[in-house]
Amino acid sequence: MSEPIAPERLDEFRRGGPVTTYSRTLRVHHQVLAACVVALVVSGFSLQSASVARIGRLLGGARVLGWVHRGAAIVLVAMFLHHVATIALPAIVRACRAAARTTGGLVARAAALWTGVPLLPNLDDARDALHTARYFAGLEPRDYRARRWHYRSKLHYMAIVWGVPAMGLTGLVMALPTLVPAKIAAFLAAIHLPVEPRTIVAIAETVHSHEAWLVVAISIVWHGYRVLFPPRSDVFTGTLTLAEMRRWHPRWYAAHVEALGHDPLAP
Amino acid sequence: MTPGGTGSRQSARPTGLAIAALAVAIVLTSRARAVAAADCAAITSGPVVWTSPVVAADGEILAVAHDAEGAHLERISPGREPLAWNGAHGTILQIAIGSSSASPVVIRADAAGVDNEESDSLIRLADTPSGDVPLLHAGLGERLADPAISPDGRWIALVVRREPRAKDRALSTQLVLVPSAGGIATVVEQGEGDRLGPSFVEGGKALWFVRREGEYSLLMRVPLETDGEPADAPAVLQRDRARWGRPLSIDSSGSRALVARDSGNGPSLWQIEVGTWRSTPAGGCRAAPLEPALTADSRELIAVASTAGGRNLFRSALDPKATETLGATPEAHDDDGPRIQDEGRPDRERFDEARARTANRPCLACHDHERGLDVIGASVHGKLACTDCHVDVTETPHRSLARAERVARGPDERGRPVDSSGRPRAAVGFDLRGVSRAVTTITAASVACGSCHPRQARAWQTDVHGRDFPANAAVPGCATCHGDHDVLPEHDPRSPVATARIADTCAASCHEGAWEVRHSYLGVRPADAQYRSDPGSTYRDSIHAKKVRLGEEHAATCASCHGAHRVLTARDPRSTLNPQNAAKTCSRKGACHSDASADFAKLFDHVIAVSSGETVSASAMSQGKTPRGYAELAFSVIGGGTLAWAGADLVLDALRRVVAGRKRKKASS
Repeated sequence: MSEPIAPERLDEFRRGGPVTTYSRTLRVHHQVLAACVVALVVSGFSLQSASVARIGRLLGGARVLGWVHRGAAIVLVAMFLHHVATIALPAIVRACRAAARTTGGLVARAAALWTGVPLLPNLDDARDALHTARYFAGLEPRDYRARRWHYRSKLHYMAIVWGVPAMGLTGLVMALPTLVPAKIAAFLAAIHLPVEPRTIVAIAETVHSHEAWLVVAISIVWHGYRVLFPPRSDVFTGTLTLAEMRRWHPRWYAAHVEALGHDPLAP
Repeated sequence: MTPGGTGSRQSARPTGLAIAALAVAIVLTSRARAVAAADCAAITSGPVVWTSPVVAADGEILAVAHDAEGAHLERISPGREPLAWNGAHGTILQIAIGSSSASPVVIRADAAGVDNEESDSLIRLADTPSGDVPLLHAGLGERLADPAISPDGRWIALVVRREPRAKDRALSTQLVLVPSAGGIATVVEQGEGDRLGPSFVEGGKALWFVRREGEYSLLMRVPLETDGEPADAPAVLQRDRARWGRPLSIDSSGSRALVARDSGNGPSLWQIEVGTWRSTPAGGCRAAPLEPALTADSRELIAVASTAGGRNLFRSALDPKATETLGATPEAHDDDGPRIQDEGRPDRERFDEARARTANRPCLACHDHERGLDVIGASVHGKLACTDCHVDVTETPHRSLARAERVARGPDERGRPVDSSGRPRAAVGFDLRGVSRAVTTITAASVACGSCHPRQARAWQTDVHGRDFPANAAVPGCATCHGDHDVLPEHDPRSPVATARIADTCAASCHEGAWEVRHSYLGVRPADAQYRSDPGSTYRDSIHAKKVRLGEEHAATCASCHGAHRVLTARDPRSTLNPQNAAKTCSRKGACHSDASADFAKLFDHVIAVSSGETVSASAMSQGKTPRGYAELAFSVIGGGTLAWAGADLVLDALRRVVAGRKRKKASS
């Protein structure tokens, strides 16, 4: 199960780097995501928690924070949709086409489709996770054996894929309490799932609040640790040097070496 | 009656008691009042509370002294002995004298019966040394006040006050004439409202008195027949938008009056020229002219003022310069009739300061350390006098205070008050627990408050808090939510009813904790279901409370939905939260949800658990059985797993790096 190597990356690799890891669109998406998450976390927790109410008042009070929160949410959802339209859907379409070209049975085609979507976890990731466990146990000298995407990156990406719609929908329930809960209740009643609007609000509040804590824990604490120790900056610069590439993505590097026929960093 | 003479010369007159040559020349406020300073000389001193001074034609002063030995009627005059009257038969409240001070008329409060209920009686002291034959006896719930003796000595005018009760809140008063020789009293005027200070004028052919109507004070005149019957209905001589005390002195022609008048700056003395309706401030001591009396020549004022440890008599010349300094302004006439022109209001701060110094000063002499008095000046009621709320305190020493003293003491063989150990009991420093019950009882305070806030009081009497009053005297009243001495405006963040604090005020005292509710909750749920409701915690968790915490002034508080003064149960069709009205409450002007529907109004309530079963255990009603509880459970599995993985990944990685670092260090060394 080897990832296809993009010809542009191989050209960069051949020239001795740097190798592009994040296109301009992805970089913009990440930066917008990061800014929106920070804004949402700060404004959201200031609104939500009594213990930081003082900070909330300093930041402009409920009205300002509310509009910051809604504004950031709208920007984030817009970015999310743009990402789906320009990055995710084309990737899925490419994977579908590749799967369609695959020879073999239905299972093989499905496997090709699944592995063809870059950020879906696969068996290789399970092996990576096992490797990480061995590294933690002191049985491996190095953690990273990743190709282009590490399994941690994939998990984090999936967290956003789930989180943005979940937070968006539950946020919408609370932002438009006179409208959305009743509409959802009507929709659920239509599919024979009678739920009271106040139950929807209660669930929305709970999900929104708990997911917010998850966002803080995963996107800020854990992700922060992962990208700062040691620091890597390719999400801002967009590129890695060949040495960084070999360090962070050893198997991706190896695939390029194999494709090129020699190791540019070999002494 | 033009004020004249110099105060310093007259006040130097020796008296039977110690005369402190204390001349206090003070301008009350530099800007507010252009009154030339008047001398103010002490007549008495010491830890004695003096009350009710009157001045005879020869300059002799009669007053009641409350000292360590009890209440005495004292005669303050050179070369004369004090009048022998030691108060063993009751407490003298007020004195009146005719042309001579020989046989004063007093109003006396007697403890009667085993329950020590008091009744007032009008007594002529010279005739009744034992004090047994009253000229007039007050009925149940009545008080006598403000006696005045006619020039010919045949009649005594006085006010009979029927104290407001909880059910019958309006004070009603009678102005009566009692024959000096005893006999049936004639009612001159009666009705709701306060009447005070009757004075005989025009050689006894007319009676002037003050009637208070709301914020106005009316100077009234009743012509009298020789048999004491009123010859005509009372006529309004003057209407003034100020609070008047009793008229101190009215000259024989009836063209001038001297009154203690309070238009918001604290009481001060004013001379009224009746014919032309001119008024000038009359000067006087710096302190409030409490219970002032005028000498026969109208040149001096005898007043009570608070001093350290007591309350003493002072004399003060009426300053002739006052008239010249300020001048007399012709009165502006309008629909309300002639009014006295105010001297112009000082700015608010000064106004409050001045008020605190003057009106409440007599009270503060004894009550300086009362709880909350350090904040009352800053409260919304900072400009009020203590007695505006403590309406049952109408004289000093307080009636109930005097009673408390009498109840506590066991009179010794001389009838002197002693404490439980037999020592003479200090008259200053009474046991005050009996005082002002009407205000110390929270609910009755609501009645006192209602005189200025009638709309709120009426609403309160129909709502869940006040509707059982007065049958149940322990219901929550005004002070329960608003505080007592420290009442602050709603927009002040320190007020207990401020947006940020009202929830704590409601919850902390009464509405905290969960309880079972067994009715159709807000009309949302079936009537046979059981609910567990917790107003405090559900509100604090709500977006409404969160916005309040962030300083959002318009965020919903308890009162936004439930109402402030007329809180009704949701079942009441008039309730703001009745299913019929709830949507309107959420969408009304100023509320947040202009497009609220009846369904929307059901979104927020205080229910934390519901069960439709007949018998539901408390544990089944716990948080975990609610939709929110299930959502939390699901999330704690998903989120908890994620967190556990991320935490392990982070911590183990950090540990591994530390171990590896140490290994490298070891290897290199």
